[in-house]
Amino acid sequence: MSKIFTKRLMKELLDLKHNPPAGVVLEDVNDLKCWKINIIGAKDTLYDGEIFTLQFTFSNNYPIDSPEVVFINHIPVHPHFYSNGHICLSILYDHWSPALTVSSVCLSIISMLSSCTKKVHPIDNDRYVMMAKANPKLTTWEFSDDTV
Amino acid sequence: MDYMFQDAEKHKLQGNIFFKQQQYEEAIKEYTTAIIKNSKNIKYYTNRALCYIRLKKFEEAINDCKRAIEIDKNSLKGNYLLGQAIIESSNSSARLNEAIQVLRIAYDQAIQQKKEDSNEIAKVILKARKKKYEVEGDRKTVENSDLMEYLINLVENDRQNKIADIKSDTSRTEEDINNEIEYINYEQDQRIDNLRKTFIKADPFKKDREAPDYLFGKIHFNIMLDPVITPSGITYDRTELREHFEKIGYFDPLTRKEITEKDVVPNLALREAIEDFLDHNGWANDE
Repeated sequence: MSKIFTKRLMKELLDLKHNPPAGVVLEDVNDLKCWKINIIGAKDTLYDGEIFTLQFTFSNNYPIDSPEVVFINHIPVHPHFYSNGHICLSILYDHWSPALTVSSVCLSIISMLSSCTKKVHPIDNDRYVMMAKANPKLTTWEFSDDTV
Repeated sequence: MDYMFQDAEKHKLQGNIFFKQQQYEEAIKEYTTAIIKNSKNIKYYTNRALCYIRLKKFEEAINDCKRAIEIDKNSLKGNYLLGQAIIESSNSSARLNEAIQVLRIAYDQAIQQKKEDSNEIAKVILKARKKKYEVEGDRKTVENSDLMEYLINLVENDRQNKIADIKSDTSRTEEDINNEIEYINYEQDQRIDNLRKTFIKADPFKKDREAPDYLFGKIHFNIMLDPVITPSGITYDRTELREHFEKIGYFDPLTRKEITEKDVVPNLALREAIEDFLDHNGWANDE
């Protein structure tokens, strides 16, 4: 594991432990390259108080490469979250920037939950889940909807 | 003359082969022959210097680097190897400053020539700074403890004098004298203790000061060596930003505004602040 990569992750980890943003709770980091983080649906939204677990997997080239982020176990019903846990969010793929952090990604996902108006699966959920590979970064994403 | 130059080149190539086989003594002989036949080729000197560094013969390496720099004062390799040889062989803060200076030249050259080496050079500069900090830190701690020892001796002498005075006071009972001595001992012990505490507090080199976030690059979270500012007003480490440009794209990582490398300018004030911080808190160099 490259040193430069470990250093950044250690700093992010400490930061997340000591000053976590609202609704983000570190669940389990047995392996520095694979984190589990709980996010809690914000008050007065459709997901109020619901707890979801995100799994972050980092490659050796993080933060130049984006982390692989999926929901595990209980997956929220949401127009941009597929039922296999994959997340349709541009900053995780084409629009990744190395200045983004684990905590900013978590906040983006929480805000996606908060702005949702109807708990439905994505339109192409069944087709996607059948075709998709385990790693969402291998999918060619088309980001069409900016409203949710 | 041409023939001599060709011959020199042959010896250099043979030297390179020995170098790859880690036969540094043999390689040095070849490079030396090459230098005799053509004393103006900078590569012969830098190659031989690298052999000397591998053999830990730093004085010889430094001489070769200096000759290379005489031929071309901006030689990337000459300055880079010179810096390394000085770091390895020297423990004075003036020499280490010299190393930092020549490494800076090498770094600027690497940036201009868009060489990947800039990252490597940046790390060596941090190493030089760390060593300089350690050297200076050691000296300051010794100075401090000299003064502390002196003051403690004064308190000890005072203790002996006071005890002697009490003992020679014939008007006191033995019990009274013992009580008084016990009190004096307590008082002086307290003073010595306070003195030690004060010195520990005053020692800037023992403080675990935390580096403020603004000294770190926004991409790898390392302390920045060459901070540059983008048109959006955000500062990044040049090497990190360049890696971002090459692998992700030509935009500002935070604001996503399109930029190219030409748009960024050095943030000299921040660089000074970082260097000042490192001079006083060597731990931050800890890579």
